[in-house]
Formats: sequence, C-alpha cells, structure tokens
Amino acid sequence: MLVICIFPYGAYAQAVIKGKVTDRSATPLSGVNVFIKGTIDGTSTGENGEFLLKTHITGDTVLVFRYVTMEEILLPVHIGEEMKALTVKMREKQNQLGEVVISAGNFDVGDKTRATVMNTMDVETTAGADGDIMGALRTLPGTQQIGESGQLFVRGGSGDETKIMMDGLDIPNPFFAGVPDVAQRNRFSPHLFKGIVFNTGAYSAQYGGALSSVLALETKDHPSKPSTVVALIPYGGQVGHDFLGKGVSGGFDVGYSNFGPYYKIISQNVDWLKAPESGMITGNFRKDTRGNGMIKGYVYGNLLHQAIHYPDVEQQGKPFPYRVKNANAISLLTYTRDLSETWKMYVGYGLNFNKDDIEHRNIPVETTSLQHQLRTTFSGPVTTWARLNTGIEGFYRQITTDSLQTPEFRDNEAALWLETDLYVGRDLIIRPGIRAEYDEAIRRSVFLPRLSMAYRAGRYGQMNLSAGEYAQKPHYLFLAENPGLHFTQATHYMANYQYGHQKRIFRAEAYYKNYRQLLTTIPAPGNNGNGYAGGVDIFWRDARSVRGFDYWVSYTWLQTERQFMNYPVRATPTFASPHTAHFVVKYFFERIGLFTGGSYTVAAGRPYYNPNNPEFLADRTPVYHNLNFNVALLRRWGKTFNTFVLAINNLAGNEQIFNYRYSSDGSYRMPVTLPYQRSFMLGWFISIGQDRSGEILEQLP
Amino acid sequence: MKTIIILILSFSITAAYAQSPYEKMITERVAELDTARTSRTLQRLANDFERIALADEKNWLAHYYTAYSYVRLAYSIKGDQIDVYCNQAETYLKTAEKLQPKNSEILALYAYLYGAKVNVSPMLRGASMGKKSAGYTDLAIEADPENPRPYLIRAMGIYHTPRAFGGGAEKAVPYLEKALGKYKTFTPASKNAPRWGKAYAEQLLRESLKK
Repeated sequence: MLVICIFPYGAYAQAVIKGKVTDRSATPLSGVNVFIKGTIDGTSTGENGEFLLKTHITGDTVLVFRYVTMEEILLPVHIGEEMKALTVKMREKQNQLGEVVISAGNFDVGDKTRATVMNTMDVETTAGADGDIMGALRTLPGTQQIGESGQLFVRGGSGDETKIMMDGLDIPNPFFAGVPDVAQRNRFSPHLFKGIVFNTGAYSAQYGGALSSVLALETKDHPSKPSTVVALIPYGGQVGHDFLGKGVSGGFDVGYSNFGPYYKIISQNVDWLKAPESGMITGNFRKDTRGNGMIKGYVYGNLLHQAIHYPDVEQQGKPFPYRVKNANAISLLTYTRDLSETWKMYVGYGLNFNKDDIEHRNIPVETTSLQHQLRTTFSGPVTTWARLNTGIEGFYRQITTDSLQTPEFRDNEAALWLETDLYVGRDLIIRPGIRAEYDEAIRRSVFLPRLSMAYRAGRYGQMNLSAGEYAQKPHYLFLAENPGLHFTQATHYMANYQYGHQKRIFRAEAYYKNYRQLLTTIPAPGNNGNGYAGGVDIFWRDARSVRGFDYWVSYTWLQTERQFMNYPVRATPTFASPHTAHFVVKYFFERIGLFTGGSYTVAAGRPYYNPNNPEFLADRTPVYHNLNFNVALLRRWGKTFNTFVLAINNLAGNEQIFNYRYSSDGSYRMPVTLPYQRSFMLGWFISIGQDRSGEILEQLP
Repeated sequence: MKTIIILILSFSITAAYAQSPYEKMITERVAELDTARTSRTLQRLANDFERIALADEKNWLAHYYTAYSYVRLAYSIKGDQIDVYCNQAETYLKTAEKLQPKNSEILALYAYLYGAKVNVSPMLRGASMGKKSAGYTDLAIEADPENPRPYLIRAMGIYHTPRAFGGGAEKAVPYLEKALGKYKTFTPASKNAPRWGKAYAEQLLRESLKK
C-alpha cells in the first residue's frame, strides 16, 4: 500500500504560484500563457497581468511564459508550499519591433504595410500624379515642383543630378524626348514594379553617378495569374497580356497614342505643329533557376514624334518650328541566385539605345547614344553581427552627335564598392561603406566614403544619421571637348526621426549639403562652381483615424545657393522654392467600388532671370497653386474587371508660372506655364482574368 | 492477492486517465470555443490549446485548435496586429499539416487564415491573399467534398467582397445553402474533430436574405 501512496503523493498537495507579467516599460500584459514546461498545467494572465497557477507538480521545474509578440521566458523555479509572488518582465520579439533599417534620406515605396510612406498603389491613385511614378514622388517632401520638367529636382539639386535605375541597371533616358518647357512623363508604367526606393540623399555606397538623388526601381516577380488587359483612353489605347507557366512567366504590352484629336477639343497654350504621337512595345520574361535563382529579362522600344511652334524671345515671340523625333530601346537582363544558405549574388547587363532627331529653325541635329553596363553584387553575413555588401560595375558609352566638333565620344567607367552592416546590439546598426569610381574621359578616380547609422528610439520610432561623399561626371557634351574636367562633388549630412505605427507615419528630416567643383561654363568650361543646400522635410500620413479615408501632408523647407553653369555669382537657382506643401486625400467607398481623391500643392515663387534687374536671379515667380481631382469607378462583369476613370488636373485653372524667358536686352519676356489650363481624362480599362484595376490611373494625361 | 488486483486495477485506471487528460481538455475547450466572443476568452483558449500542443506534440487537433483560436483572434481585431495572430496561427497550422497532410479541415483553416490577412489592407492584399485563400478553399473541397467548412469560408469571402468587385450578400447565398446542406449530413470523424461553423452559416444566411 505504501508504495502506491508514494506515487501520487503530490495529488493532494496542491501548490499555488502567483505573479505578475509586464513588458519592459512595466505595462501589464494580459493573455500571457504561463505554464509548467512539458505539462498542460498552466493559466493565462488576466487584465492586470496577474496570474494564479494551481498545480500538483512540486519540486524543481521550469516555468514558461509565452506571448505572441514577446520573447519566450523560461524561468527555473522550485515549487514548494510557500512561494513568493513572481514578477516577470518580457521583451518584444526582434521581428515584432521590425528591423532597424537605415532610412535616412530614402523613401521606400513597397507593398509592406509597416512604416512605408507610400505603396505602389498610391502611384496610381494619387490625384495629379497621373499614374506617373515621378508625379507621386513629387508629393513627398524634399522634391521641388518644377512644372516645366518631368524630372525629379531633389533638395536643391538639378534634375540631371537624379539618377534612375531599374533592377540595379542605369536608365540614362527615363523620360520621353520632349520639346522645350513641356514636362514629359517617365517611360515606365508603375505596375512593372514591386518596389521603389527613392533616395533623397546620403544614400548607400552601392549607388554612384548621382550628385543629389537616386531612384531605384525593382521589377515584379511572377504574376499570380495569367491576364489580358485593354485600355481605352481619349488619345490612344493599349493591349497587354501576361502568361504564367510552371516556374516561368512573361508578357507583352503594345500601345499607341496620338494627342491630335484630344488637343482639338481641349485647347492648349502650346502651339502644336504635330501633337505627340507615339508607339510603344515592351516585353518581359522571368524564369526560375536552380539555387532559388531567377533570370529576368525586360525589353522596351518606343518611337515618338512631336513638334511645336517655339517662340523666339529675341524676336518678340515670333514662332519657329521645333521638331523632335525619338527612338529609344532598352534591354535589361538580370540573374540572381543564392550562393549558400545566406549569401546571394546578382549579375545584371543593361543596354540602352537612344536616338534624337531634333530640328529647330530647320537646322537638324542628330544624336545617337549607346550604353552598355555590366554589374555584379554579392551580399551575405560575415559573422553574426556583420553583413557585407560588395559589388563592381562597368560602363561603356558611345555617343555620336552633329552638335560637337568631335562627332564621336567614347567613355569607359568602372566602380567598386564595399559596405558592411554592423549590428551593435538590437537597437543600433552602423553602416560604413566606400565607393571608388574611375572614369576614362576624366582620367581620374574618386574615393567616396559613406557612413550611416540607425538607432531604435522607442517601440515604433527610429533615428538615423548619415553622411557621405558623392560624385557625378559632367554631361558628355562638356566632357567630350574639355579633357581637363573633373568629377563634380558633394558632401551630404543628414539626420532624421521616423515614427510608424498602425498606418500612421511621421517623419522629419534635416540635411545640409556642400557642393564642390560644380561645372561652370563661363568664361570656359571648368569645375569652378560651388554651393550649398540645407533644409527640413516633414511628412505625416494617417490612414487609420477614419475607415476608408487616407491622407498625407508634407512640407519642404529649402535654402540653397550655388554658382554653376553660366551663373556669374552664387545665387538661389531657378529650380528651388523655399517652401512647398502638399495635401493629398483619398477616400474609397468600398461598398460601391468608388474611389475618389484630391491633392493640393502650394509653393513659394522660384527665382527667374531678369536682365533688367542688376541683381542676378533676384526676381521671384508668383506663388504656385495646383489642385487636382480624380474619381474611379470599379466594376466586375463576369470575368472582366472594368475601371472608369475621370481625372482633372489644375481643377481651379490657376495660372502656373514656372519661369520667364527674357530677350537679352530685357525688352520682351515670355512666361513659361503649363501647356494647358486644365487637363481632362476619361478612360475605360478592361482587364480579363486577373484584377488589374490597380493599373487604372496610370495612363492619365 | 486482493490488494494486488486492486493495485493493478488502480494503476491501469490511472494509466488510462493519463492518456486522456489532453483529449478531455480539448473536448471541454472546444465546447467553450463555440460561444467564445471576446478576444480575452479566445486568447485564453489559444493558450490552453497551445499547452496541449506543446505537451502532446503528435496531437494534430491540439495544433489545429491553437491555430483556429488565433485565426478567430485575427478576425476579432483590426490593423497590423492581424498579421501577428495570423503568423502565430500559421506556425501551428503547419505542424498540424505535417502530422495530417492533405486533411480537408487543415486546408480549410488555411483558407480562413488568409482571408483574415486580407483585412490588414483590402486594397493592397485583396488580390494576392484573396487568391491564396481561394486556392486553399479549392484544395479543401477536393480533399473532402463533404466538408461544409470550405463552402462557408468561400461564402464569407464573397459576402465581404464589395459588390463592385463581384461579391455581395446575394452571391454568397448559394454557397451558404450548400454549406448548410453539408452541415446536415456531416459527422465529425472523432469526438474532437472540427465541427464549427453551422450557427455562423445560419446567421450569415439570415443576414444575406434580409438584404
């Protein structure tokens, strides 16, 4: 009998374990699973974080504390009769906090929901963005409203100081070839991309050749379904098809547009000789390969023709024909794969061809450029606390033009970079990096050290500090005939704070940049320019407070001066406004599938050159106002998804004056304005198979 | 001798009991699940099932119900936290799937889970997660055409999809009727096997017909 009694002896002696569970900041945690390891004896903490666990088990054992967002705690205890109340503090799981990421100066546009300022859908649904990536990015702080150009002017930098890359490969001609003073769209539809990283400064060593900004676009992987899409807009149409097989997918799009009939109905401020007419064809291809690898191919071809009567200010605005014909072709091929469990490699080859035939006052100029690029990168952990990113790239360029004494210009360029992410504890990352560039035409190399760090400040906050050296070659037109030219250079310093939680994001960033050796063209081309830019960018987005309602506000403060090109003295350049603010709102009536959006931008006047004013660039254009509106109705009929779109830009019909062009004697001036008073767009987009209604708003005027 | 027999008997009874506390606890908690509404109760039940799953690693039902409780939690809240619960559910569901591959109930729960993930951001995720959910619904029906739950999950998906995108209450009705037809004839494979959803299907049908 005695033997039996010993066995279940504990059954009658019930022990009680009491305690309280909190997080690191002593906030009680309710719903924590508290139990004895390996048994079902346990309980959950109540509202006040307290628990009371009754058990028959006694002696030395381990108490487990588990909670979804917290790291598990194993607490060795001795269960006896008289136990003291336990106090347990749990720490957030690493992945719950989100990785500390270096975000100074870059805006990540992705599909992630956490702390991304924008997602790819925003490109299509932001009123006034016209489904143009650049248009959507222009509502972020740090960018300037340069209405006469499609380029991105970032933090006091010129449009040429922003570089655009696709899957790591350069796109030297990302915009449609244009006529003077009319903004041109970028060539790429946003639906090509799964991620967009907009670097407004102090970016990583993997990017080079850009003094102010880098826009890195990342193309999509396999689609989830095959689909066909048809788009009908007042000035053209587009047909596309995506196919999907096992581990392989691809697609093509063919488009044609002719603004002729549209311009007949909606009057234009520009005297068009030939309204833009363009044909486009693109294809893409993806194939899975061994080692979790993928081969991606992308080809693009476009022919465009447009011509205007361009007024000559020296002759009281007498118009002269300006005609441009452009042919552009892009081919990108990339291969990515895992080298081991943790190391990854990338190889990319890019080919860009561009031919411009420009005829002004009956003088034709033909320019043909060809660029080859080869790029390879490797990344992986070296130790548990250090991660290496390294790569090498080379360019070959060949440019033939009638406008130079030397009709053919060739140039080779090579770059090498090395960067390490050092994880110092769980709240701090330090990223030192170095980039070396060599250019054959310049016959010199530059070394560009960079340093960034990110520190977690609170559960949803983060602070960043970055600094670095940046370089860019002068334009080939100058490089070809002035062998003594050097790289133009800049030093960036930046500090930011970001808070992101539950669809609310706040971001504030301050920066200072110092420009050196900027290109000057008077008296002779040289590197005698310099300048600075400093400012503060603020962004707030809230998609949480009211269901279906999403808005953001951004403000840009910019102070900059530079002496470059033909500036006789240092002055605030024509592409810099000291204050810019944006208000973007969106509302989705989910029940009826109706989407509406609006945006309003206001910016202080920009400097313009007035020969009558003895002070250089002392005049300012009027304040800029721009109000846009869009509405989209989504309907599904059978297997087709239909989207009807109405979009109006510059709804209030504000006269937007970007600049004045003066005759050299100052007696005549001509304002540079929008080519239209208001723009209208009504479209019908049909997609079959897959819901591609997200692509709707990307084709706006 | 008598004492020895009693001794052996009492031993074997204890042994029989020693196996069943898990099953017994599952039975009790499943009964509670049917009426659980608040996230506090659901979290407590998730914890109880989790303890069984950790103690009795080969018990697929313990893993299944832990996952199910977390999916229910995911439907009870809004925002980013949905993902937290869904990811937790996914880990347990994966273990259940390893123990019981191609089980219609597990596949149906995957469909239910990805349906919850759509709610984080219907605009962004409707397409990708909705498709993933639909794919699992198909698999669940294929694995057992008599299981009513995949039909209920499909009906829920359609019910909550705006009309403009081809959803709406009316379109959910045929699937709800089909699900309810299956509930009538469905007999759980074992005492603790999944049997949830009937009351909810009835409620949803009533609401759909009202509209």
